[in-house]
Amino acid sequence: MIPLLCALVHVAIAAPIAFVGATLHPVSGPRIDDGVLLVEDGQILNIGARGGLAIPDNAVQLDSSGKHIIPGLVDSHSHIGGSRLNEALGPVQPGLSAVDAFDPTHTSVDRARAGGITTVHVMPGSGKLIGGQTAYLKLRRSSVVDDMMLCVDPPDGAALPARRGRCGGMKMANGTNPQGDGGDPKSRMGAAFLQRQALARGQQRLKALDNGPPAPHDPTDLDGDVLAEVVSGQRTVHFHTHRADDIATILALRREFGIDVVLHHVSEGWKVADAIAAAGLPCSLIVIDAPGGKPEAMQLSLQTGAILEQKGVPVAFHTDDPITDSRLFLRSAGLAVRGGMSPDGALRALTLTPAEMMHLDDTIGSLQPGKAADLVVLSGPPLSTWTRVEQTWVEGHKVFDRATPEGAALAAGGGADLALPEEPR
Amino acid sequence: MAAPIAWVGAVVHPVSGPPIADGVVVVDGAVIVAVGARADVVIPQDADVYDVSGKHIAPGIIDLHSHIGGGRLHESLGPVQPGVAAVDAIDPSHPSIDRARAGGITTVNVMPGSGKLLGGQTALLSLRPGVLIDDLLLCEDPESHRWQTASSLDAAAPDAPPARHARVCGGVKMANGTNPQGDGGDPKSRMGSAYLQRKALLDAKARAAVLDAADARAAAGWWARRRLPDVKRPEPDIAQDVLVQVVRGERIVHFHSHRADDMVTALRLREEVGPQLRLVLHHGSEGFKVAQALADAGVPLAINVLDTPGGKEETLERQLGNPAAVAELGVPVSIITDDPVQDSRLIRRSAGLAVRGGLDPVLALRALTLSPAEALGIAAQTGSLEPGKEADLIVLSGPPLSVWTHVEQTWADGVRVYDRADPAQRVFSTGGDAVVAP
Repeated sequence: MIPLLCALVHVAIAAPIAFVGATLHPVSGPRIDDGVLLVEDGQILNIGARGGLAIPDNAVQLDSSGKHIIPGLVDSHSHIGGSRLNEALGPVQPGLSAVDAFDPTHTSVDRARAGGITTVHVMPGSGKLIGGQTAYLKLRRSSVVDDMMLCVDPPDGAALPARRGRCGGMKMANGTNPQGDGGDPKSRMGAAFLQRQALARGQQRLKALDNGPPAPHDPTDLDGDVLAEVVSGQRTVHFHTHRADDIATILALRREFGIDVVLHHVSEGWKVADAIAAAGLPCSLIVIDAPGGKPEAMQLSLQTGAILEQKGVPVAFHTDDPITDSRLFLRSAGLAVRGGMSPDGALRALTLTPAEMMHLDDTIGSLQPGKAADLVVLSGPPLSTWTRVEQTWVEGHKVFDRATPEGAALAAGGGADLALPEEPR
Repeated sequence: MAAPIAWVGAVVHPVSGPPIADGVVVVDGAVIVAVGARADVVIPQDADVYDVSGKHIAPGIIDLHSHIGGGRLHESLGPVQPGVAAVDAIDPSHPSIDRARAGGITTVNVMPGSGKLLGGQTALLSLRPGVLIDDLLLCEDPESHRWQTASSLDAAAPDAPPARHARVCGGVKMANGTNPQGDGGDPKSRMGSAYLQRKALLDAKARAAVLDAADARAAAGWWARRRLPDVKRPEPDIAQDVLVQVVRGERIVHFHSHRADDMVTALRLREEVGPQLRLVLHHGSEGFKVAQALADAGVPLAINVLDTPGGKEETLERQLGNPAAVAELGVPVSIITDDPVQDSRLIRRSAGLAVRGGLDPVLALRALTLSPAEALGIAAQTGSLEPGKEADLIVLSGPPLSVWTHVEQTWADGVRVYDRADPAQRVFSTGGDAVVAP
């Protein structure tokens, strides 16, 4: 499966850029002190120690001495974009898509760039059992969200907009959040039943589609089409879950339906770490310094990352922005180190591991030749609380610069800070 | 047979061409027969000649987005209600219609409100005199693509169902952003909005395909029929069949949208249905942010120019430079009133404010006339002063975009429907909303 950038990718015909003298953290390999990072046409051209690689004569050299450079951060769970991401058409609403509620010009998107985030996974909320389709977004500068979407296998027939292809996963949730009034379940029994019923519907639709694509005069089934992608394993389920028993319920759903699953939050994951490891499920953790705010998150632990790491479970962190601020994403990994996780594993949990969870790791997540030039220039070591994000680069373009007044405002200001208005003329 | 009418000596703004300093416009019956410089036009012997020296003559103004007619235009049968038609809620004797005539408006698209994802059918009205709304309602003839009043169609075919519902006599109103979000069955998010609109349009596309397949089957001989899909023609559906017209491009979608991301969502919906879908975006407050995307899609934008920041969060970034910014990239721009959001009598001022924001004055006058006519698909009949077009025109006391220029007369379809010299009509220009015809 080759992920494609289904968007306007401006092909910059520009001189190569050389970041010279920084401490480089490729993540895919050991740290390089006094390194050189070469970028050309939006991609990483080469990386190595100073003197170990040739800098092209026409390269623009940026003195990065004393700085640290890491891959652009990948936030595997966020709600930026300024729009309401909770819908209430029913407990199961797979036809919805978060991309239809994302404002690329919203200040929260700029704050994420200010936090060093270059790829973000924007999800519907957890108020529904199946909340809708999620969006994998590259934080390129554009006012059209389609320019930011990362899509796999665009839909047949070029007439269809790419956003209707697979450009994200599916949000599911169990535990107390999706319980409620109206058609929502009131119990974990009801939740599991309705989720099984929906996935079974996906299997039926998949079977129908196996007999050939629907004719134009066949009835549409927007929900069934997406559920079929889920049960065929083509669309990853990102499953909000806190309690250990809810995690076990997901393990059973996966066994029954063969879905590709990433567990999100996983507050009690430490209780069932062996079962998670045996199933090989990746975990995207939220790290907060307060006990959560609801009973099912009371046993959230700073040690969860360390425990899962020891068991060999792929671990990522996420902001769940606005639950934690995108600008403090590095701190989440630092707190996990405080809980016992390895610093290398913690940095990987912000970059390459979440990229792997979204099946985007062949283009992002590490500083390797051929990958996108998504990178963050830091004032100091990545996991230090007082290290600042100085610059964020996406595909060779600087999308955040703390040295500019608007950059400083975005890095330091509150949630209401608007980016400077765009003037048409 | 009434004599032809010749207006002589005015600055004539044909819009389809450059202004004519000492111009003549000749109308015979309901049709313009000549437009040109005084020296170039032969005035018929029997014509009634009006000296309009010092005045300006412009095409009748076309308001692409209005809610005049005095009726409530919000319904709540559900988030998608294509069967509902604005024509059933318009009172042709309501003073708001006379105020629109006093503002120089001769053609108006009266729309349901934006409180629903798909609020219902819009009504395209010519503001010619009439007792019944059917006398004003314009319906498209599917063969000639000419628009005729529902009354004339009903008179020509007494046994046919009423044209106001049997024909295409307007578009449909759709809306996204915060307005159509709400309680009950309404969506709570932009995700839900896009999904429900997508479902409605794609279901209609499938229904259109069923109807096509059934037609093909009925038309085929018994031998060829064996190879065609075995579909049964569905029963007529007064709501769903309106959406079938939409997905076939027979009925225009007028789409209320403010934020840049919402406009892009509407463009993507159109992509999914197909290029035949005729889309006009309305309001477009953040159009300047995505002007290139709008230009690439070739979708017209109908903008209301307000001097205040709107009144809701999603319009806070609106700016006077918006019409100029999108027009610069080639987006066809119309200026609308959204009456009662703005007074129909001040629509020329909106165009003037757009000029203050940088819009070319020639484009600003076009945005009141020919551009909305093109967006509505009626430019063959109205929108400019050209021989053969309907005699929809206004006589102005001065330059069209000046704030202190008065509309002196409004003519629709060759009939004078407003005359400022008549005190009984002048009150529609000067009076408040409660003014009624004597």
